Amino acid sequence: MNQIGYSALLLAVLTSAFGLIAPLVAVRTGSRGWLKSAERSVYGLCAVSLVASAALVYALMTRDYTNEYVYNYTSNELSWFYTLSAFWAGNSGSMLLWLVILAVFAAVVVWQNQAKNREILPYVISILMSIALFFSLMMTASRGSNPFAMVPAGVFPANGSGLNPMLENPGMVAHPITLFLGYVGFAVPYAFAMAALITRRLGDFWIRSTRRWTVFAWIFLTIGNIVGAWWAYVTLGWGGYWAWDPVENASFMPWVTGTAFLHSVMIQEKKDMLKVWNIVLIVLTFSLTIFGTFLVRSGVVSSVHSFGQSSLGFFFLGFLGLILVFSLNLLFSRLDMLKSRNELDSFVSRESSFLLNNLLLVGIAMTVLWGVLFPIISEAVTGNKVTVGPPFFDQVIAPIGLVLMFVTGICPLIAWRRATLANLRKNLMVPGVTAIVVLVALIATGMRHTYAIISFTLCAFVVTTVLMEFARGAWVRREMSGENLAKALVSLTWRNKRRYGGYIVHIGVILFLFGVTGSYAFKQQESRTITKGESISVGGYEVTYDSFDSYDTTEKRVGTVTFTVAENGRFLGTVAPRKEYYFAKDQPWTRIDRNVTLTRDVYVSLLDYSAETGEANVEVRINPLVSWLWIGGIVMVLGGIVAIWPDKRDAQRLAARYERQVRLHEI
Amino acid sequence: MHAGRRMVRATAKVATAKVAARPAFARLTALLGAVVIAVAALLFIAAPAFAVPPVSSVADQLICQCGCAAVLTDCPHQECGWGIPAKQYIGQQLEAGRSPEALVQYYVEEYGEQVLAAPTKRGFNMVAWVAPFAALIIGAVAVYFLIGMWARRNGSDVEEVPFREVGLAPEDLERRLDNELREFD
Repeated sequence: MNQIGYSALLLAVLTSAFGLIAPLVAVRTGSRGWLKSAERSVYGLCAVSLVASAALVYALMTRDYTNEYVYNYTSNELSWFYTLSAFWAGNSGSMLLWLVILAVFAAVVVWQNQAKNREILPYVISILMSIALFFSLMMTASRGSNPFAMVPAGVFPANGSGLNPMLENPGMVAHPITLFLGYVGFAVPYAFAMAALITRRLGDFWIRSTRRWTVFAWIFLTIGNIVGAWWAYVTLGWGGYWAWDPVENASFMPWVTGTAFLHSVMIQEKKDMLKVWNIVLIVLTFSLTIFGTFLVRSGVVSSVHSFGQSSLGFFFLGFLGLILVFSLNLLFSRLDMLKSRNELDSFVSRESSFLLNNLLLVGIAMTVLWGVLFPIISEAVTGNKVTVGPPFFDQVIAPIGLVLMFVTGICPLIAWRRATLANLRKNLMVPGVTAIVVLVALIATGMRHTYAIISFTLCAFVVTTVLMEFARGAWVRREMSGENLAKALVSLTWRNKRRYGGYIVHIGVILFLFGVTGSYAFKQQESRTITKGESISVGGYEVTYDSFDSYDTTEKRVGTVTFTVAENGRFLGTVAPRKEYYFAKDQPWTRIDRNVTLTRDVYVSLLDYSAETGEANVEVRINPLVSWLWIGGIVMVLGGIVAIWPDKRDAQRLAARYERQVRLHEI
Repeated sequence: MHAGRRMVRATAKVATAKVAARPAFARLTALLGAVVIAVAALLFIAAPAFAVPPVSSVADQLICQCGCAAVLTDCPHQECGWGIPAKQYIGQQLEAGRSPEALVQYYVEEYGEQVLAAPTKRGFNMVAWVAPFAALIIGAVAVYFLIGMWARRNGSDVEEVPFREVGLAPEDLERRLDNELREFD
């Protein structure tokens, strides 16, 4: 099976190389046959990469330890669920995941565009296939990234090394795959943007044609980031969910620039402006996805998540350089054709607020990039090694984020095209008063954390503005149709999915930030060694040691301590954190347990125990409002799904616009 | 003629209203600004003081040297050979009356500047702190001038644009909703 997998990878190299060249020959010669072959090569790549993936899955599930990758990431004791997730547990498997997702997406793109975008499709295929060629080449040319590399001849291991215990979590099953769906998803709008530049068809059709792809990629990048945070929270045992680690930053940056892109394309669609900026944003977003892949594999920065130091990272750096040189060169060569009329009706308009929002979002992304790269810059300039960690990001990103929250709140209050200050002031009245009431209430109730006060106040402000938008729209619908208010609200949202889906996302973002603020500003912790019957008290909660249990499996030794959680004497429940010791890997691991409500988590880690004395070293953390992070994440994703949901009217508008642009020779 | 006079009067009224609105808005903005600054100052002044600083007052400023690259407080390694003794040492030293600043300095002398979780705000490291805000301010100024230029190019001035009433009568709302949705789509 390994030979079949490796042969499929070699075929992937050949198919993607053909798919890169054939469309260009088709354009040069005008041959329909070559174009048809190019399209079939995409389906061919999809088939061979699926065969390679199936071969790896087979090798994993049958525990074929002659395959080095299977040996490194599975063991006889591993459940089938986590055996399947071992597919992307290591470097080479994750490269194959990249390839297969890209191949499937490319096939969907070709299938979607059988009757449209025919002029730019050859270039779209060529660009997507060039990315696929890079990944398939990497897997076949380098032993370290070949998922079908064999253990030395004559060696037949009876058992594998096993999966890293920290990866044995449902979050780590979902996190890489959702993140990659997001990363690779952005390759599609990038390919369309480049194809539009090459063909000089610079209307907004490339944006409209790939809008769903962009939102799709954004949704999955959102899921990937949030599931990653959740995994860190429930698995790593340090009580946090985000540490501004370089690898975390690498997945956060394209999410931020992708968000900026989603906003700025609206301006191009409405006003035919920001054409250059939108191309810069999609190039930046796609480049950052490659940069993230580079960071994980290069070892240039220290990270708990990285695959370790390898020369592979520098191939990614070279590929990233190639993408930037190609894209920016193409962009500069078409600058004169990208000139917009660049007219705004008013200084105070929603368009202006979008520009400000873009500035802040890109500012956040570039600040994070700056923080990731500064240690390298500092060492190059001064020879002095420095670390740029959470205190830097907290202090620099937090104020920018608060301004962005304010802009998010202001934006719906400003009309498109033009608004007056009087108008703005009038619309600000209700949200402004709400925010002031919240501000006063927070201070009056004794809150003294400055950032938290500002953030909670802004949360109230933004949620009020968004809810007002819903309420106004629903009220009008009720007046128009006679529906009751709830039904009017649903039909309003469903008839304007893109707009109200976006607002739902905004509510999700605010709920998320509400959770971030609470858990960041008001967390408390205490750790101590205690025995049966003793308690640890933190923030009004009492965690009492009840019982201890220890047992062995073939894979590990497990020690469990059961604690009672009470608040001011009132019983809330029990938690049972575990301490595990993995024999094969000689590795201890802690499995935390939590008592969860909407207002706080009581987060308990069993740091160590003594089987002889029954003593347990326990850490108890009170993490306020953490649940709202996950709720906010779910709401963000739901909003994205509403915004992306197929809409017949939208499709008709798109078709009509396409025909008009064809008539005007814009595409 | 009468129609012309009415237009002139109407324009004059709008202009008067604008002139009156401007200082009122400026006063409101200044007042809000003053309130925000006063509240922020009070909050800082009212910040509680601790008798013995917690371990996190030092551990939050340091990076664990076990290789995890995490802040010492948050090192995910449960049996960390560097982090656990370091936190114990910090706790003992704080109890003994040593200041957090002195302890941080001790670790810098032992391990170099890279033990700090963030660059110091001195020398070349200042670039790390200043650059993001400087870039944002430059960007904001550029956006301000661009918007101004683009708005002028269109020949419209915000103050001359009549206010589109929103939020009162349902028919106005309906019109606004339809207009906005049409424009948006």
